[in-house]
Amino acid sequence: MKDFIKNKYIWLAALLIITELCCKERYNLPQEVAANRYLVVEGFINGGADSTFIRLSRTANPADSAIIQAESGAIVSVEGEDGNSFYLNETEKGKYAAGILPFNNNIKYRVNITTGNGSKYVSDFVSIQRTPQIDSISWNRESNGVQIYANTHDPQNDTRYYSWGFTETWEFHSAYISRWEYRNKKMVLRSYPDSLYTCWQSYTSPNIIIGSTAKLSEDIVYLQPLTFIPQDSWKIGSRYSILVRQRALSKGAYEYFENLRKNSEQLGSIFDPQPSTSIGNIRCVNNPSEIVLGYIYSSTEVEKRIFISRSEVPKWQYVFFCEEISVKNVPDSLEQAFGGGAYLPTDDVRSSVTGIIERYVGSSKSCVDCTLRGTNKRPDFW
Amino acid sequence: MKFILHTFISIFFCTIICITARVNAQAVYPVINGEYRNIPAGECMERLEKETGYHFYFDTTGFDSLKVDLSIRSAPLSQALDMIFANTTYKYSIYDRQVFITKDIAVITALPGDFFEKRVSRSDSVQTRYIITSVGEEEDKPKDNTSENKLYEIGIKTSAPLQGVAKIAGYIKDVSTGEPVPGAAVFVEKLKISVNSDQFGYYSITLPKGKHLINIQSLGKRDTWRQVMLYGDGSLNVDMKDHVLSLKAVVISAKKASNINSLQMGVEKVDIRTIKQIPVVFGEADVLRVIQTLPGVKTVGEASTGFNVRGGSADQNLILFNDATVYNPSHFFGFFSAFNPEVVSSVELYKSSIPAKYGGRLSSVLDVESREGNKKKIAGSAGIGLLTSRLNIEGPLIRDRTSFILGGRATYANWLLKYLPDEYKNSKASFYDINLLLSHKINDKNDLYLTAYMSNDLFNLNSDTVYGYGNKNIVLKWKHVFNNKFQTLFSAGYDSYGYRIYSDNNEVNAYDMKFNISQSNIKFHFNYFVNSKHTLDFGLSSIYYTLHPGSFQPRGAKSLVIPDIIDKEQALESALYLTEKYNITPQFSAQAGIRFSLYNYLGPQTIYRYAEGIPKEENNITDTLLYGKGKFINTYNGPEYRISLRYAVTDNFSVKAGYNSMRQYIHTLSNTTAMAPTDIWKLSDPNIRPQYGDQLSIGLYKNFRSNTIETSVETYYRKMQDVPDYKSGAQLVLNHHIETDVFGTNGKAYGVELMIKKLTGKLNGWISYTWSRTFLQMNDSTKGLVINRGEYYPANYDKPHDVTFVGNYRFSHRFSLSLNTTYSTGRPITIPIGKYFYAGSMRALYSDRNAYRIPDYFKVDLSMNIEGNHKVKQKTHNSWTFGVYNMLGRKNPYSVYFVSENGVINGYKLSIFGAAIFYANFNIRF
Repeated sequence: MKDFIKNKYIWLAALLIITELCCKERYNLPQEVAANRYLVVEGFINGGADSTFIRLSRTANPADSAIIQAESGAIVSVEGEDGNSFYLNETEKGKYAAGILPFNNNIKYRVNITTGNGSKYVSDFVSIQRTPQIDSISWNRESNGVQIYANTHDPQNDTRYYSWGFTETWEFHSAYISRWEYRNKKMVLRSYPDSLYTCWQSYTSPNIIIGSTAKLSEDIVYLQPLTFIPQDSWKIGSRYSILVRQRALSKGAYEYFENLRKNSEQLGSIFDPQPSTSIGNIRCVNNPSEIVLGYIYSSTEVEKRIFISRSEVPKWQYVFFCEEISVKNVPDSLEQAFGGGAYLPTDDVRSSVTGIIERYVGSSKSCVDCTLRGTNKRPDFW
Repeated sequence: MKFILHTFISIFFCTIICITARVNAQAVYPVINGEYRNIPAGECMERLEKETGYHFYFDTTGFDSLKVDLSIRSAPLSQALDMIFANTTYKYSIYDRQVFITKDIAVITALPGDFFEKRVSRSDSVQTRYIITSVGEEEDKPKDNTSENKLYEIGIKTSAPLQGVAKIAGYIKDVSTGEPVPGAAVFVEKLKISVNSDQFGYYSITLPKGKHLINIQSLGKRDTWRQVMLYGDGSLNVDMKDHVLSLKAVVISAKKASNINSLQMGVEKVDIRTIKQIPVVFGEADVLRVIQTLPGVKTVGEASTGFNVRGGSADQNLILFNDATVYNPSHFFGFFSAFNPEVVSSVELYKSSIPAKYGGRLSSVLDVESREGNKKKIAGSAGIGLLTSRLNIEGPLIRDRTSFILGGRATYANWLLKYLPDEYKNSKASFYDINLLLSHKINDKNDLYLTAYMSNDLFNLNSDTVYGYGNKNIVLKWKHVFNNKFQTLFSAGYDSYGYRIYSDNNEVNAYDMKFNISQSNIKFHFNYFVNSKHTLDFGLSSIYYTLHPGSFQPRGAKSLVIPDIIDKEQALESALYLTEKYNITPQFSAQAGIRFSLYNYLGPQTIYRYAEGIPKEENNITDTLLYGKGKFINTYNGPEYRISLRYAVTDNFSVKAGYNSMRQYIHTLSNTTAMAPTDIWKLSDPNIRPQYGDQLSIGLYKNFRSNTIETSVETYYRKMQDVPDYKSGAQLVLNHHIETDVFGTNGKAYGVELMIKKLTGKLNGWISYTWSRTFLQMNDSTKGLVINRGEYYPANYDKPHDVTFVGNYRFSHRFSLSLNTTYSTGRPITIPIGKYFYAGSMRALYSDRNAYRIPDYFKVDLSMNIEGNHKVKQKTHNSWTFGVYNMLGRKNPYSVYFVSENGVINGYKLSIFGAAIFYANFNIRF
């Protein structure tokens, strides 16, 4: 009997055709429109040796193409419990800034805003959090990429809530060095061949990265994941650098960001929470029921940068595929190949006997000119 | 037409004594033409009466057990009757335009030659007649004598005139396995008296003394009947046969009238045979999926066995497995129910007429009943499916007295997870469940039953975090019958549910989190049949809860996690109840029940007091109270009313109305849309009030075509109070003062449910349509932020239109085809109505809660059931099920969500099953 079941089962298994079980499709944003354009206040009161920036904007309709609806012409100030106020200047549309401000660490501060239409907004008073130094930025070669982590601790066991931001910068190269330049129907030697060969690209993460040690006996952040570089990405094609910025958060700010993250970045599982708009600690004085978005907190910011070279990462196999063309050193042929600009010459092929240039080789512009994919301006930290 | 015996006797003697005899041997009878296919003899006589204009006299008792299946062509009445009664014990005689049908001895329509010489007294004649009828019934004729045409004499036989009522009680069992048949309808149609057998197959019915035809019907069993002559109280056990395996061409078309006659409304019962016919994903017969096809039952989506009954949330359903409370009825992220179909005999869902013996949940009671083991021989079954395998063994420990079933299921589902979307690709999942059921008959008056159940799930969703959860239940029941009128059921049990989450990838943060709830309970239930008009049900029950709301502990020596253990909670929930069923007239009956529930929240516990009139928040704590062990911290109590009325307008049309109120002292806290395995339970305490709900419902029930088609319309309106809802960003797990994140909301729900059901014949199944709305409201700013300006907003599971068709067509006894089709309105969601730039990315500004809907849902499933041959004498019986789930391959949305990706908001539609899924199942019985 047992054999019978087995045989039938094999037959059965062969019968099965299972296609993809589950799927995710794009879904257009419904064209519903909010009744009002609400004020959005973003920024933090920098209690350290750096400027304070507050950005004011308005909510947009889902269909609007403008990225940021800047709110211009407002009066923005940081006010202490002691009654001292520091005013911010609008440095660009919607962006208000003040230099290093002489804050008193023992009192709390808040943000006052009066918009152009006369509405007054005020945040809760917040105390200035001190951010401990970043102990290290570490990384680990995993089977399918490189994971980058932050490590920090607060000996006073006092910080507990952290946020991180980072900017990645990486050096990359064209497939070929271009020694020649086709200019005015003539081949001339390029004066700075490296300007097309070595470039840099950078990326600032838009994601919220926060962490808490509130459930740990010591205020130690160990291996906080920051970002993951997938296998054979061009980011580690030559040399990679990451600048990590760390800020201490208050409990309220942490909860606000946690909520914002849940409502905008972590949806899509089977067990999703009900999404809702996160309401922060800013309110409208004239109309208490008006929705104001954003959360004001005060902190200092610390940074740390590391570099990772391709040689440090075992078996990183980033390849930039390109093909070369070879052109006879005849004016008509050269004009035909390089005159349109789609191809750039790279090198020459000389006769082994006479040393005369018989042919030129070249490749498509994207393989030769790295500025198409980045900038050739060397960053000052490189 | 339907003459009772007395009329018949008097006419009989009038004919003989008063009227001059007129021998009519050469009379010319009317000619009969017609098709009389599979109709009871009584109906046949009615038709003949209409056709001929003759009067037919016969005793209806037992007469309908005779079936007529004839085609009569131009035959005179006498010849037609010859054909009808050929090979039966019935005789007929025709006198003038009257036809007398009697058993065994024909009525002599001519006077005997010596009539005027011999004097016969009237009383003597009665005596003689009496003997005539009983001789025919009692004669031992093994050839024709089934228990159905035998007359059972109950009580002490007497020839004195029969007065008053008597009670018959007994067990209804399966003839081949000896298992009891629960929920069988036992009724006397003429009197509109109907009772149902209990879960042990026991029934008790009170009838006027005299002769009766008692019908016994149960789903999946062949209808049967017993002719009884009731002289006094007594017992009658009935054996029923399975109907599918019978190959004899018996047509089952008798009266499925129990929906008309019973007092209950809003009750849906589905037997396991129907459950197994309905196509389900991966072919795993699933009790809860079938429940979700019934009118008034909704679900948020495919990955959820949590269900919503008449606008109630998923935790408002009391799920019982042989009276044990199952806290988490799902396996495998909710794709399967935790009930092994091989040990289940039937499921019953109470939506509105919730009997007073049940309580503690607001919306419904789902009563899953197991089978009892085979009492005659060792038997078993095994099944192989795509995801699970099953093995069950059952049999007698002591023949005819003690039986057992041991059943288990295990999964090998990991391969399936590879087909899930990328974010779940490296997931792992496994589960198992085990059932052990014992039943023991101590003697005729005492029975013992033991049910033990255990389930376990372990999975990780593409991460280092491992989730595990499981149920453990054990319940012992003792049934004692004092006498036919009075019996009791005592049960004691222990139920437990817990989950665990751990992660040890990062050694500094490695943790182990646990949650657990357990309850010990005892119940005394009494059943007292006062007389044919009154029945009393009463009892008391008590549940002691112990709840560990959460512990968070380090895992491994290097972990820096601070142990965080939330104080355990305990409470006692007790109830006292009484139900009276009163048959006022055969047409009109009423049932009134009251349940008084009492809830005590017990120490040791720390209770926070909050400032009045403002939302409960951490910084509004005004006082911290410490209570010692066993101290009564606070008490909630109140009556719950359960009232139902039935008026039978005709034999196949009735109107019912009901009102019930319920209280719920234990709540699931979950802010996910679907019922998640990591939801926690919370006991009511001084800061979290019990939920209260009441419901008014009215229904119309009409049966067609000899009760083979049942139709019903039910409508309801219900209100709910103190249903928990959560503040935005609520922290539900490991919260030492959870009341700061939870507040009570009010709800209202109303709807109409239409159902057409055909449970016999080659084509069977049902079509149901539900229109319903469910709204919640949070308008009290002293509790927290008001939602949607305090207006009513639709609940997550508010799906106004819902049409379901479940059908099965039996081509032959070995091959049948099932189809399951569902259409429903998409469920409500909250969508972005604006966007703003914050923290490096566009973020969504959300609309009012649940102001928008996801696209509608439509799905067709098909399955084929192929039975092996039906030879009774073979070692194994096997069957195959092939099917296709979501045949149209429609990408039904499970959810629509909006995320910020690379700085912009993108919308996605997530479907759980985006293609047709083929499956096969092989089952074997031995």
